[in-house]
Amino acid sequence: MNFINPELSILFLVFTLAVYYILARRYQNIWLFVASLGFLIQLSLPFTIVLLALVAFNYSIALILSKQNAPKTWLLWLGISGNVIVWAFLREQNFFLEAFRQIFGQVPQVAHLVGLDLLVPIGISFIFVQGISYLVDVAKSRIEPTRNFLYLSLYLIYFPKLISGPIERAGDFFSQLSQPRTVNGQTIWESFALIIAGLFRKLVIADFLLVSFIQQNFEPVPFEPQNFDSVALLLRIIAYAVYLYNDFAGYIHIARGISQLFGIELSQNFKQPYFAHSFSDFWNRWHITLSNLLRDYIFYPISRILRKRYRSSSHFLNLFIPPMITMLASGLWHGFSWHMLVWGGLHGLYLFCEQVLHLLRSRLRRDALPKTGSNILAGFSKTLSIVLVFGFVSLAWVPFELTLPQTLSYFRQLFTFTGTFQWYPGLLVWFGLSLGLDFLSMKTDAKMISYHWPAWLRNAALALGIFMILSVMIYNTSAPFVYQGF
Amino acid sequence: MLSPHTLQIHKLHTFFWNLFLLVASLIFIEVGMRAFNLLYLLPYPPNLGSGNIDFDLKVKYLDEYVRQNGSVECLVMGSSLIDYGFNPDIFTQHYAEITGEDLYCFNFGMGGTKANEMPFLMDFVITRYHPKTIIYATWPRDYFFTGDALDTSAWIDYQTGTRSPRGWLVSNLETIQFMHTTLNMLWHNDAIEKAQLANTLQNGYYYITETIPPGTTSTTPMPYLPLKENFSALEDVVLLTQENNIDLDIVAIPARIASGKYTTNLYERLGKDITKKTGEQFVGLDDNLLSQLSSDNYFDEYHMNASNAMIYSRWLAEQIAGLHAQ
Repeated sequence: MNFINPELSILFLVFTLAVYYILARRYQNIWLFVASLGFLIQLSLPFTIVLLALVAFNYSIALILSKQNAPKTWLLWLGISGNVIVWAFLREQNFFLEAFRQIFGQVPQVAHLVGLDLLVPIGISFIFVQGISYLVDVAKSRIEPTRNFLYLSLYLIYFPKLISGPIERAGDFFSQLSQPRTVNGQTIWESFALIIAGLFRKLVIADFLLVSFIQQNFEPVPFEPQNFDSVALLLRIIAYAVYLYNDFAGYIHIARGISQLFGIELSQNFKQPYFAHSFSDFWNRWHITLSNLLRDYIFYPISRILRKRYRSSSHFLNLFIPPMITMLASGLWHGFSWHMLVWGGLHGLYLFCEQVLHLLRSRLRRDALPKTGSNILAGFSKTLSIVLVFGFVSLAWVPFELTLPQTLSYFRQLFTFTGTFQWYPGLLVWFGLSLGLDFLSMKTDAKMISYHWPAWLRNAALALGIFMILSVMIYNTSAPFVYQGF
Repeated sequence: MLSPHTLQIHKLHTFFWNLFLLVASLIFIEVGMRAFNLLYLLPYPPNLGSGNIDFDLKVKYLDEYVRQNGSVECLVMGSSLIDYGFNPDIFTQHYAEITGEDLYCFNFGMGGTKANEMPFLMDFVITRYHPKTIIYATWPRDYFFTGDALDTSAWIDYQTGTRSPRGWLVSNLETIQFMHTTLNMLWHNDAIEKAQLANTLQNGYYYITETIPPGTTSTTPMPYLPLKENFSALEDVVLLTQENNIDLDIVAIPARIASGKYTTNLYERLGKDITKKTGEQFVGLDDNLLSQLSSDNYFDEYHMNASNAMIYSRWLAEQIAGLHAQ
């Protein structure tokens, strides 16, 4: 399913908004729920039913959890297990159906009857992780469980964020649902700018890069890295890094823009991640909502447990275990496969090495070196850090994208240092466009439009963006979002 | 009734003012694009979404010709053999010498196309350019394989009558074509495309004087194995031209036949089949032409260079003059 079907999406959005604006306040959440259901049903009815059952399950568990004498630990684990089972089944349904086929010779009739083979597990990892975070927050008494079924349903299946997040915190989302929302001429225009920026990232940068460079130069499918030289593979790494970022960030812009039209603010999720000067900085800028969740629910608890046992902050286990387990969990969240574990493991290793280096550096400074150096040196050092972090992060995208044998072959071939540089002006321009949008986002506090500019300039920039989006959209078929598969 | 909590009416003027400015900006950009003719200043032809720069180039040049002359009377169509092998200027001159009449035939040969793609291409040229005569120059290979040299696109669909918002936008807004061409241009890195740009003349003819010696590929004669769908396509072409009252002439075009695998025997069998299946007369290769063509004056194993193209174009003018006199 491709989310960007322009004609249908526009019709759906305009109709939903028109009714939303006309409705009295007390009916608006109901309408959002109906619209989200409609959106889900057109994806897959069986999937909708499974998700509604999951909402009901989380709703009930949370209510029981909040009772004074409830066995909280048991209930919490029951809730987590329920979410994990549904997630694992939906994520790997093909594996399960294939297993059925191998054991019984065919998929049991009941699987067809209940539509198991018709499930479309779009965005299921986002839904499941929000379900778990809600239950944990209730169990830890961080929030009160909601008695309003609509609130929890919208928290999990609100259509603008259904496909690829951002992953919201239940408390913040519920408070937005319970308050009156205001949308005025200015917010409509800001939403519009966000949607245009998102479409630009997705269609002009990501899809165009995919079709014109990645697919064009690295066919046939499946991709066989051993057939390419090091220079080509290096360029492909850069192209994929830019492609993936713009594909995902593009979706988030669109989701935020659409949600803003309903008066509901969604989290930013990206803050110029390729400007990061350290790996921890990268994770504060990339997929922020997931990173924060993993930090709060895995990294901190593990760190606390370990620190109780090994008091020294520089103890190897204190430095190694928390980032490694957190990043391996992140890898698993992206998919049950060895290559995703390698991706997570690499990032765990990066974070560990960074902490070790940080410790060594601070000891050196403390023991011997007075602080010297000029602004130029500091600037150079920061730029170098940014380039290095980008390089290592991009290298890690290889196992993120490819299977383990392909990854091994890729790295083997990459480090043969063969090939001659071929000039692709497009790659440089696209990289520049991506950085330009990041710069714009930084300067406009992620609004993608600045009121310091004259009105004509704002609208001329939007008009140019619209023309570029149309020029790509009309000719090319948009590729599905990478993260909708998670 | 609008919900007072949701929509703040008093700030809607911001929305409408910005909407006005946005629409004004869109119009301003489009007007600027047309006023300075920016689309046609690009080093690449407007990208029409066909995935074939040959097509984009031919459309650009033919559009320019039609803009200057009002219409085009005749198109010569076929594969890259025509691209390299038909010189419109020589043809026009020789045709006028024979008949005393002017007949300008634009070279609309398209690299990589086979007979199965002709209905689509002819539908396009007939709808867009309304020629009175189409000369389809063909050879056995057009029937032994199928081709997919051209992708369909919103622009092409719109030209052939499939109406859609996308088609309208891309056909009527030069800014969209300009942006698309510019974006694609940044990725062009193909030697074949560069040669296409350098060698294609305004009349559609791919002018090349170089030659590669014969014998680089197998000379084993090819078995005669035409595909049914290619003949069906030719039947569609005949119907299409009849419906539009267009004079269709089907003629042969030679490859490096003296030493190649496409022997004159294959052409003869093809001619018989074409006449049998479509009822149309097929103008085959004759001894007069074959004796004039030099085996050295081919660019490669198949394509004629400028010297042989001149001979073929003169011969073609004689054949067409003969057909038109009947």
